Amino acid sequence: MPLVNMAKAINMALHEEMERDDSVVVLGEDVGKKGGVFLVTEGLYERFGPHRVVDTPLNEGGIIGFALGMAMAGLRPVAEIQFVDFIWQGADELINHVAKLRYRSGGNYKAPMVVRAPVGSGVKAGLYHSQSPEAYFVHTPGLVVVAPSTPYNAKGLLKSAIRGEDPVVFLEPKVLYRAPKEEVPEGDYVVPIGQARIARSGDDVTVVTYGAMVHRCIEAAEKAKASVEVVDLQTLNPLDFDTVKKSVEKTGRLVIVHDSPKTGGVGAEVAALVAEKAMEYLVAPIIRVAGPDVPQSPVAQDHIYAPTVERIVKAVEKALLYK
Amino acid sequence: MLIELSKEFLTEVREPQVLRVLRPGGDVDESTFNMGYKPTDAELVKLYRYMVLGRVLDRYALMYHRMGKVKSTYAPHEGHEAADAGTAHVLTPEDWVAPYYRNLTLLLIRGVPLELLWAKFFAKRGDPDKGRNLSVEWGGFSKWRVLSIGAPIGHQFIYAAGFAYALRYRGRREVVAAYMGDGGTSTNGFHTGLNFAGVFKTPVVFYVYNNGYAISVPVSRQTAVGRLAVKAVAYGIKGLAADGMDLLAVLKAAHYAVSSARSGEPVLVELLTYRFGPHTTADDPLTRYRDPKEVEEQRRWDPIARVETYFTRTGVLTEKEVKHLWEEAEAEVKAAAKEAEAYPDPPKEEIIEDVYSFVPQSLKEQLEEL
Repeated sequence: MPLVNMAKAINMALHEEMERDDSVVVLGEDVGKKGGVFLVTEGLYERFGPHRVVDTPLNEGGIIGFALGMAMAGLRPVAEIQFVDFIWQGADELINHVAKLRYRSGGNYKAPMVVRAPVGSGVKAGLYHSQSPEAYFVHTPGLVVVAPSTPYNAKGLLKSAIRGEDPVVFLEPKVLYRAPKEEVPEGDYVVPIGQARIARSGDDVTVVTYGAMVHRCIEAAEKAKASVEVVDLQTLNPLDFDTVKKSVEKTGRLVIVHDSPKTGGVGAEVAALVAEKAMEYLVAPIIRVAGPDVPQSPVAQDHIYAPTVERIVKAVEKALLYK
Repeated sequence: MLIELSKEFLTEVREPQVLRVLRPGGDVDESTFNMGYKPTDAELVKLYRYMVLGRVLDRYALMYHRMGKVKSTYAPHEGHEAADAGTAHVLTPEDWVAPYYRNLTLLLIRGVPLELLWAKFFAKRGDPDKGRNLSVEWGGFSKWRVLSIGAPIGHQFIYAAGFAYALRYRGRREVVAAYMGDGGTSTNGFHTGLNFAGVFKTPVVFYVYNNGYAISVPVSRQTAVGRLAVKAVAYGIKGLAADGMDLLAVLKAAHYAVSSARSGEPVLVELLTYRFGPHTTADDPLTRYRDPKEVEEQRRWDPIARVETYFTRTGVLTEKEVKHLWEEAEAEVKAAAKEAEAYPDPPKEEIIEDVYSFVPQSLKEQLEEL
């Protein structure tokens, strides 16, 4: 099995799916000859040609709207938004049309399409190349929201997303594109959408997280003076609450970690669900470790925007104070 | 002080003439009459029937809205019947349309049954959209090759272009005809749709119904150009303008545009119309922003009256036949409404259907709370 990073793993998924099904097409800015600014679509143009790997005009509403038309017509477009920060120009298309298509058409139309976009802080990219807007999309019925965290699950989740019948917002943590690497099978496999995974087993504290923060949480788990279970949500909507609940039932303590603003984030939803449905198992207050509620993220303070290992360890140890 | 540059360094755009065939008095402009596509009398009569049916349905929908039977806001399309009829007629049944909310006659010509339209207006079972949308938001009419639309203005131009790209990708011959009003030309959807279509040469025709108003705002507040058709120039596609209340002119313009699109040259067609009614049932133009004299003056150009005058002048139909046709349409519309009124309401459980291809566990739980 080749040892690859996430960018390569996603690239493998795109190659394999386009090879398998000629209804899969890729479109976006610079996805053609350049292979995308993060080289995620590298080699596709040469292999599949300009009709299937489409460099578009610079307009996110155009990319998402055009992809919607393709999807309505029976193709399976994979649209790339160069940075998720620019998706707002296509928000109307995404939220008012893509997400509502199946519902407003009484099931007579569907939009099997994927909108891929790099997300997150950590590369000193300022206020317009660092956002993590997953909560906006989770708050939009009709969208599936996926947050890969490793090369292996990125490839498998993207394949599921492309083959599914629903529109998927696929949020790729840009800090993970180059590292870490892991062994990823070259052949076909899928990671199902809607299922969380236990990234690390433990008994004392449950840490629920996703995307880039999975790795920091595992690092924090190694450092903390306790047995910590790390739940990687993988899909943010629909959320696999069963896995979260089982873990919390076991540990009685919940810490939630994300690289995005604290207020109204996915952490708030997880906390509310646990409070509604598993309160009786808790022995400690739920603790959220998230980015501050400021524009994500200022260059000078980029290194302190996302939860650090130290902050996560501190939160875990605070939860342990409750017996 | 403006220091002049010589003319060759400045852009220059020529406004097209507005194509017109039928004069208000019922006679025709011979030069344009003999140009381009020429429909037979039988075709014209067929389209005229649909125009009358569209107008009668429109008027009954307004009436039934006042009576509380039409469940949601309704947007009448009176004045648009010729534009709808002419543009629909030149399409094959395999072609696609991406309408906006003021295209009722278009839907009738695509073959949507009257009962089903009433079911939609009444938000009853039988509505393909399951009673989820406003009366004139065509969400799920895929069976008649009508692309799904929502209320936000303009986006259908983008996905019409994307849809057309997919048709060509699959080696198909179909085209997409997309529609919007004059206000729509200010939206991202308009500009992006035309731009993408121009770049990718997708088989799509963009119709803009310029009826002079976006609710209350006149077209002079949408744009500084005199003819909307000239906007095509900026996107490297063809543009033309026609009298949208003149069935013969619409047929010629639309036939040209569809042929062009089918050969990979997208076209923007501005159709000049008038909106005789309010924007919607929630609008009151005559007391707020429109002079009743203007509406009266526009009646001279009424698309249905002009065809009738043409028919009676040339002997295609007698006045008696015209009268009979109106009565027939009214009877049909009323009978269909009566039938649809008896349809059941959509069941409560449908509220959680079709959000996804599956029903999430959380939604099942939420249904229990309703």
